[in-house]
Amino acid sequence: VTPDVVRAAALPPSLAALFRDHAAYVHRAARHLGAPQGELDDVVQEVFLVAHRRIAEFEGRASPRTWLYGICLRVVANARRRAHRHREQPVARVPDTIAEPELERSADAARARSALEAALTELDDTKRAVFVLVDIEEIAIEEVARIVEAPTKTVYSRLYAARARVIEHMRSALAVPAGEAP
Amino acid sequence: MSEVDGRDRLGDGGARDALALALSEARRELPPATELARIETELAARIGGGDGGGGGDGHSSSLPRALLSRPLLAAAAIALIAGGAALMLRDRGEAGSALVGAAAERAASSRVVAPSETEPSAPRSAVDPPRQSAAPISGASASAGPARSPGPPPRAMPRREPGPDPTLATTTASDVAASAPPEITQATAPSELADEVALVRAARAAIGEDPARALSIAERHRAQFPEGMLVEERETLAVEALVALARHDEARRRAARFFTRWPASPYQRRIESALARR
Repeated sequence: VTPDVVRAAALPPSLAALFRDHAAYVHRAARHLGAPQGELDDVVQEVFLVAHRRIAEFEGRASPRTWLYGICLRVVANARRRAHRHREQPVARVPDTIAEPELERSADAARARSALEAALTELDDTKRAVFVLVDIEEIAIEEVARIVEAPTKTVYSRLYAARARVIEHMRSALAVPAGEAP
Repeated sequence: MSEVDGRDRLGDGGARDALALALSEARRELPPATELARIETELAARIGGGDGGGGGDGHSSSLPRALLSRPLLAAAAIALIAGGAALMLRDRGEAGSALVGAAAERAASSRVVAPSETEPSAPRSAVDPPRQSAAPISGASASAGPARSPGPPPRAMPRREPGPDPTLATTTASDVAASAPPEITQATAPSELADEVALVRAARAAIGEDPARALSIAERHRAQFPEGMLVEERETLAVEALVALARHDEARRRAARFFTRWPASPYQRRIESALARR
């Protein structure tokens, strides 16, 4: 029985509370923001490590989740830069771990879903961040502006551009020639 | 190319609908609890072990050395005493453990309000907000239009983040302050604690695949460490396991006892969301 076992056991209570309430959302956001394949777990851990170190900053924040998303954005960006430098790794696509809820959904939904995944990879990082935070994570524009450190006007225009791009992509991705429909 | 036909069938409106569908799917896709549990365990190891993973910013030395914050330390002290007793009894075999369990049960039930009186219904708001967004991507459909005219704010999201959680905020800050003191070392960790931890980890690992096993491990923990340091975690796992086994009444009763005993526990949300999951 080593102390390691003990240390590996539990997070400090404050961090544990943050983790339990928000880790799932951080995980989801990191994936959509384009965390490199195979590094998703590390990215989520890293977000909470940073949160742990900077928890003093969090005090007085309106929303812990918004704060965590801000950290997440930077951690993902770093990971992507690293991955890019080291190898031409594709970013994480829909992982197998999501398989369970997929059972219940229609083929249409599944196709739309993977078209969206593909569309995300085509957005540049700034547009992608805004799109993911606003349209998937449902963060208010003003908060997103704070997270990405840009004026709300800029956030809006990135959002519009991103949506137009995504819709365009989905239209061509989902345009199935007659007779070849699954 | 017949793609043109397809495009005709799926004009902008169709693409927008597809996007709305995809977005609502994307919002529902949260990682499974087992995966998060694994990440959490690794994270705890990194924090306890002073980082170790890449990507740190070099400040890992400022991390608390161990999980032993002050409140936990107090709990550990209690666990030492209770655990000592349990250990003695455990040496005498099953009967002894059962005795401890029974005693704990008695002690607990003497402070417990009848389950029906404590409805665990109160605040489960922030647990799972996106899933409730009834009108998901009104954003997408409504917004594709304004895409060309960046004038009016696209009331993008129908709902905002769930409001701030002052409870969490305060707990967080103060707990961290409390967990900072470096004079606490892992030397305080008794081997009973490691045994406890091993049990709770095993229960947590089993919960996704084999809730019955998770429950029996939790019961073993209760027998051995009725008032152990990880008692809240154990009770939470027990409730989760009961829900997974569709033993909802028992789950609710156990949760009610929990809420009575630990009204401000950080595990409350987890229990509430387990109860809501049926």
